[in-house]
Amino acid sequence: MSDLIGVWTGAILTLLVFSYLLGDTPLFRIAQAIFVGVAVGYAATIAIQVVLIERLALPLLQNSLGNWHLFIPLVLGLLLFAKLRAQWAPLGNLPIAFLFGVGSALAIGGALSGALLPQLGATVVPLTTLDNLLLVVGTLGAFLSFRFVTLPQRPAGRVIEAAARGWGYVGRWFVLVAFGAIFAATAVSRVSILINRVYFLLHDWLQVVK
Amino acid sequence: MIQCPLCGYENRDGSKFCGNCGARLTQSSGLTCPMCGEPNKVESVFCSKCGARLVPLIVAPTEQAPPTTPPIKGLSLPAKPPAETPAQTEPPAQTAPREATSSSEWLDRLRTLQPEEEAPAKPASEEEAQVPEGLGAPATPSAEEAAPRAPVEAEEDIPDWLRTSIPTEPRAEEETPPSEPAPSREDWLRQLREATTAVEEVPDWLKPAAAIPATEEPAPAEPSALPPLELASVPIETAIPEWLRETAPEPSAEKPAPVEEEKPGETLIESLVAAAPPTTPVAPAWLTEEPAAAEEEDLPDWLRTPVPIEPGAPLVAEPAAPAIEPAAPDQVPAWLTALKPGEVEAPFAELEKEPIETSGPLFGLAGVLPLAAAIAEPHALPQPPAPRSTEGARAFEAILASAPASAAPAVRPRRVWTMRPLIYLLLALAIVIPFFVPFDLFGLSVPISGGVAAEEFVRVIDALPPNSTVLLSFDYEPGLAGEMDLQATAIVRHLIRRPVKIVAVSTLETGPQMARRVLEPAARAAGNYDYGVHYVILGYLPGNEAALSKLATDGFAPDAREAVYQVAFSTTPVGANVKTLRDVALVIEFAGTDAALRMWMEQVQPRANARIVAGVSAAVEPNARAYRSAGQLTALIGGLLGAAQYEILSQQPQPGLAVISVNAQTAAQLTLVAIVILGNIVYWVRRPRRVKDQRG
Repeated sequence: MSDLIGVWTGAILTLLVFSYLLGDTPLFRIAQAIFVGVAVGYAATIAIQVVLIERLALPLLQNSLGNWHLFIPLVLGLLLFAKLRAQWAPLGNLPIAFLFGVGSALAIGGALSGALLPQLGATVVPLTTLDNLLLVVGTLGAFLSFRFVTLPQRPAGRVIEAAARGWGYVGRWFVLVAFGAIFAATAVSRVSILINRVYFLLHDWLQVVK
Repeated sequence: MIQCPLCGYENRDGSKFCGNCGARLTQSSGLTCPMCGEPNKVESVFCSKCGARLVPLIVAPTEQAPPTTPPIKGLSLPAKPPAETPAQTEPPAQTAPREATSSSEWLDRLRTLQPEEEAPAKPASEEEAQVPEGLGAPATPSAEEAAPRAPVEAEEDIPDWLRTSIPTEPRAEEETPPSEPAPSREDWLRQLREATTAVEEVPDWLKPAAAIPATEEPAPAEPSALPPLELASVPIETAIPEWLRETAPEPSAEKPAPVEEEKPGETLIESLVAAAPPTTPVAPAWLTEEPAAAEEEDLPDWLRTPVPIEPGAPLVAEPAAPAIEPAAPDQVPAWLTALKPGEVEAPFAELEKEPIETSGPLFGLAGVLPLAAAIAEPHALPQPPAPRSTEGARAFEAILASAPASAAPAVRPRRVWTMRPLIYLLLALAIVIPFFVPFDLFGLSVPISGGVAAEEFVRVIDALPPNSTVLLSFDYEPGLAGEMDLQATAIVRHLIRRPVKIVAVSTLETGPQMARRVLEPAARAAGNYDYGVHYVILGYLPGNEAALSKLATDGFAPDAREAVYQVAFSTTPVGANVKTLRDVALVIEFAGTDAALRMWMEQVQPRANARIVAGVSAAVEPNARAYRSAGQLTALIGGLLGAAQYEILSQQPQPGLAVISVNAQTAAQLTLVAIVILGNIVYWVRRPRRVKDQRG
């Protein structure tokens, strides 16, 4: 029975979303409001249950001295409420600064070790195959296409400038192709989701497809 | 050049004292606008920058009518032509001294204004104070309230060495023609008494004007009435210039030709006065009463006995004394009415009606910028409308005057047809038909039997040791479940068949539900794959990068609980031997976004050196391929096609949803490509005609 209610609810909400094909209809607005409300409510419930209760309140209630370090995030979290009043708002900058500082440190360190250095190393390949050649030419051309400096107007500088400009022009086409591939892949992804929704209507709701 | 306010002498710029009379020039060189601070000429009435009035509108009742005498600049605005240049408004010789105080001074004086300060009867000097009241008052006409103060102030500023060289009565000297010697005060009074003989020499057409208490015209509204002082103190014969005497019109007893200038503003004022309801001037009671005995003692002998005036008597023989006669109400001159103490306050009473400024430099003042006075003042004539505007107005009138056209039948706006519904229809058919009629589309279907990426992925799974533990991260939202569930389901089924143990986590709040959505049906389908024994859902890992970094370095938290039964993870058969990522044989990341995959690549892979494979959305696949090329990902599949390939290559017992949906995916993609090509063809075919229409 619960499955039947879930199927019908899902089917009706799917049709409400499809009503957007006719324009920004009130039916679509209803479905949109339901989805936003459910998502926010679910996220808040998970955050309260998983974070505040299981990882903060219960450990502090059970063993406060042993989990003394949990008072630090507790105080930082409470300081965020200072943002509600203008006079105390500066106190709320402390936890925000802590979050930004930790986040930036992790992101920068991870980008260096997990993205920049490995990706640079991946471009150092022998130019023995066409794939490797295209990889090197495309990578360097993409870098040169974002060049915002001009070399000195000396004879050698003019030659290098012309070469860099031409290579950057080629690299710009690599960038355009990459953007086109990302766009096409996104379209394919959304078509897959559409197919899944149509299959849900035909198979689970209408049961006309096995 | 700086013009002396007293003598009119042109001084060079920067002069502080007049080179002719020695008067101080610094404060009289200009008027500062109280509104904008713009320095203006001393004779300016309105600010040349903002148009604010520079001189307070405090006038005696007689001044409201245009005076016969030339206007005193800065005080007689209504008589000033709007378009007249300052050079044209140079005062004649008999004008009162210009206002010698700066704007701040007159503002301050207005703030502390006392009625007696503004009373025109106040003598200009102590010598004038000795003049009898009835005579001293006319010596300072009400139309020039502040004028008598100027000589006194100017004298105070004159150096001592210069004071001795200045005539004792500069004002009398100014009011007399230059050819006449300046009479002393005694002579002045004597002339006042002997004015009768001088009046006899006045032409007939000026005699009514010489006799102020004339009976024909009401005094308050008489614009041509000269102040009696000038008629009385100065012989009329000498006061009238020769040119005026020659151009005098025919003598008329009804209305003497006054010596007045034609002012554009006067026409308007006169018309307004004429349009106003007639008012009968009423003589004040203090004039009709007999003078008190004490007052009579102060009067000179020639004034003690009032001379009776008969209405029809000739006016030529009357001296200036009738000014104090108890005349009929309509015979009281305006200047004399203004001298009555009780009526002097009339201007202030009017000012009290005006709103008092509450801020700005005019704080505490009223009537400085009265609206009524601004309306009554002469304004520049409005510019005639442009011919184009006139033509437009006539055309509009013609349209309004024309008969209304017959109402055309309401035409419903034609709905513009677009290809959007057709695209929707084609796409829907391309998706629905393959579910009912599987076909290969003439061999154009995407090959799902092979795939390098999927083969690599399958080999990695097949290489896992039996009963090893695999960490699955479900990092996609429910919105992407339609695409990502297909990959996850195919991979989980393959893992169950191996068999390996599964630990599921997520960096998203909704991830655990996605894990249950995939794992539980696959476990039920397998039959002997139990929760807690073979697989565990750890749930949500809050903290994003921080949580993954901690997981990579410290492993699973000792007090971590699984998400379904809230049992400690370490107590479960799955988690008994899993403490860190080193205890995990493989990490499988299901990433719906670039951010989720990037976190695992940046925080976990370099720190834990774990083997990571990823099944990602088709939108993430182009970026994920870079990690695969760099070796950070051991294997990668993407989108619906990757799921279908994995289902086939992993030898699923029954075809999954990915294989069923791949035909619809192929048909939809081909339809989209055909629509894009067709749209471009139509665009390029219709472009010349559209360009021609735009140019035409």
